[in-house]
Amino acid sequence: MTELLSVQNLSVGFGRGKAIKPIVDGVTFTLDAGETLAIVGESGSGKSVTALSINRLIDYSGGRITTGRIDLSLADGKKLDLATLDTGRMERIRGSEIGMIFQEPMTSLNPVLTIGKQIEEVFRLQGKGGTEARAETLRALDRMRIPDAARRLDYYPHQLSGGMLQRVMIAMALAASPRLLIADEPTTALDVSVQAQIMALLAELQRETGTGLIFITHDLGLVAGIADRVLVMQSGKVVEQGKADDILDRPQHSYTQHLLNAVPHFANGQHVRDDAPRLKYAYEPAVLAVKELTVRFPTTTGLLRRPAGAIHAVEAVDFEICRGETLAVVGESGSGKSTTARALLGLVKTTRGSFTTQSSESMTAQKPMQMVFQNPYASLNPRLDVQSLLAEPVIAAGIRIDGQITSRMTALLDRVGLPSDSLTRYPHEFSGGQRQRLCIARALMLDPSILVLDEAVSALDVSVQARVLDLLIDLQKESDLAYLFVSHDMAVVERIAHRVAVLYAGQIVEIGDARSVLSNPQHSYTKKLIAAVPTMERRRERYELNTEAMPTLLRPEGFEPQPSRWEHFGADHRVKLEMAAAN
Amino acid sequence: MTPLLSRLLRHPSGCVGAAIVLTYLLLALAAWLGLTPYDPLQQFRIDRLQGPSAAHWMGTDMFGRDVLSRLMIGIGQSFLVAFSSVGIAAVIGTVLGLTAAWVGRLWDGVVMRLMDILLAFPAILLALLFITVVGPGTFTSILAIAFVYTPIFTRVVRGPALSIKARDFVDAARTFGSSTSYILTRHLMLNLVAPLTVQVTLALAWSLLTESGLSFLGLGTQPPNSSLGLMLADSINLMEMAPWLLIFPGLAVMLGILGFNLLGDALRDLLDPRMRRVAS
Repeated sequence: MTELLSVQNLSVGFGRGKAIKPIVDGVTFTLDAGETLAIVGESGSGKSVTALSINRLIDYSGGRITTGRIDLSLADGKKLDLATLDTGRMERIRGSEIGMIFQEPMTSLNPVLTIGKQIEEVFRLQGKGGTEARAETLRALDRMRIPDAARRLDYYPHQLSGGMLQRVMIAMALAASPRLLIADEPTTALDVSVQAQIMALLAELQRETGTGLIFITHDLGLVAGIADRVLVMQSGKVVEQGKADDILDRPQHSYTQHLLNAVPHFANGQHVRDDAPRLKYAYEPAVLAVKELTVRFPTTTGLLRRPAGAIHAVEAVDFEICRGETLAVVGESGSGKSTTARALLGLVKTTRGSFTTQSSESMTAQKPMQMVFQNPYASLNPRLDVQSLLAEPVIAAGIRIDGQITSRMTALLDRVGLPSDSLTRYPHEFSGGQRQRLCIARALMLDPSILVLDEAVSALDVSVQARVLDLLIDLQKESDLAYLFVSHDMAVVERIAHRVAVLYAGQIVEIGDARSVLSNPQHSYTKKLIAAVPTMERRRERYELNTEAMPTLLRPEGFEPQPSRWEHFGADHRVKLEMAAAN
Repeated sequence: MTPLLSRLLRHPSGCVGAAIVLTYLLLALAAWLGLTPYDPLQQFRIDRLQGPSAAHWMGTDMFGRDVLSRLMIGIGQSFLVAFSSVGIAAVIGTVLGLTAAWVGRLWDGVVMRLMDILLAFPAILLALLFITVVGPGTFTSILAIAFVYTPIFTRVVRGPALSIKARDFVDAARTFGSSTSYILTRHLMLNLVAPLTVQVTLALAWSLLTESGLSFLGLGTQPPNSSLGLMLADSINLMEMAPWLLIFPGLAVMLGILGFNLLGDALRDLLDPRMRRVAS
């Protein structure tokens, strides 16, 4: 193996003059050709800044390389120090030697140009002419396993799904056949099944071309799947680096150990919770019983807005949750899992169906169902202090804020693990995890019996995520709360769920006991979903490439789907029968 | 709001702007309380067109009236028009913008197209049109200027209101069962305070200018009452003979607008959430 990149004692700071704030501090590593290095860390660890320093994009976001060398070996064997290279030559290096893939494919492409034009531009920069560039573009898309590539050349970014766009981004990054590819969280914004496809693609392309790959991620499961070597970063410093197997199996540094412990491991249903509220409360009515819940969004066409059918976002969904139980709703984006949650809270109008709730006996139990949202930064009004935020549901219920309520506030804040002086502080003074705790406290103010958690831990760092999950489980055990836990993360689901419902194209395709569903999935979609989950055990395993997309949810007006027929497996596990010819 | 005030005074342009605006307000207040050096209407026939002196700091005009006293009254008059018109425009504009964003659909379309039509006319032309119909006077110019600035407030409120409406915390409030009026006041209005405050200070500067313009054209405040624009109009024929008649009201208009603009800039900086104290 030949050394491709050698970074020595790299430090990067933001700001000017004396007020310079170090973000990356003394990072040293090397990368061989054809090797994959994973840089792992939580938000703020400096992993992205390290990557952006290598192709010097950091110059454009206010950062400055203060010390260190970044030596890139060129094709002719010469070494070039990228840390001190002038802007003009750096631009040429970026175009030809280093490719980059960003996290958000939706915003990385120009929305007013066709994808064909955008990829062609890279070839034109290499001096290739019209027809030649177009032929190369087609070849590049074919290489990305994009079906029907010739037609897709004329598509605009908004006409393609996130997974397809990320493939286009990879095609652009690889168009110049760079010797080094930097991927900054390339799959974080994508669904699990799409993520598996992208990972498979990256691994396969790397085998074909021998490109060196720097892969930045917070997901240790992904690291196990792709990396040869791992570098763990914490607050701008490298705390540990080495061979992937060594780091994952025998971590030396306490932070790495901590990180590995915090990561929810998916174990095919072997580690589900063993308390069984369903048996304990078997003779009580379900706290939430949903019958035939259907949400359709009518669409219109033409100038006169004639009705043209409807998007069947949620179609005849049935389930029950009993006291103290967690039902996890899983599925990819567009499967209707969030819409189901929002329909229960009255945020979207239900077309048909009903649900009943049972409130607890408590005095303040006014609304038995409360919700915690995904993004703790957006779900708290930045201009209200904590006291006013917690008072919101109370005021909405028409209850006076008195000493009793205030003492409940302090007790709840204490219970969710926030400092006692929080009442007079504002949301921006808290971290993401603390804010989510605040949201949980707010949802608990009226002593609900059901908590709807819509991707409530998805936006949090792994170690924070683990602690919030622990808190949720403790709260559930203490007061027999029922959770409707919407998530796309199977590992998190395995940790908190008693039962699992798999949603696909607006319908439940499989529902039942968590152990049964996760360890013995019956529906082909559930199997596909579980097969796509990256785990620590799947080292450099080949993920299967599958480009099948979810069927359209747009139905003609008056369309009524056939009622589902179910097949039962065991006491609590039923699966929707798959039609021979899916509609 | 005390911390905001102290931060405002530490902000360089905020400090200057606040000082100018405060001085004007004190001058206007003194004038209303009758604390002018002379009666602004009293005519010292012998002292006509006197330059600035110890007795008359800013000289006298062609009727022998004290320019400083008239300037103070004029500032009071101009401020009265500016504040009332901006106040009316802010209230109506906020209500229209907020309801347009909240209700949406037809109401949004009707309100915003109406505002587009109003915005298509130059401000002074629209005010002229209004005054031609109703007739000149202080009260009319207040209404005319309010009329002209309402669409600007409607737009300034509607944009952010639309984006705040789509934020999760509004959805969260809905899940608690909060009433619409609670969501509108607590969540939307509270987050609109910053853009509104900035817009109000800037609109005050513009309306000061518009009022002067209208009075200058003889359509605003009517003589013998005094306003900055009226004083400028009176001075133009005597510009060479008695330049102080032009200079002092002109300076007063300029400084006033500068003061409001500096204050607006400072408030924009200070109310930006990114400038606020972060987690300690």
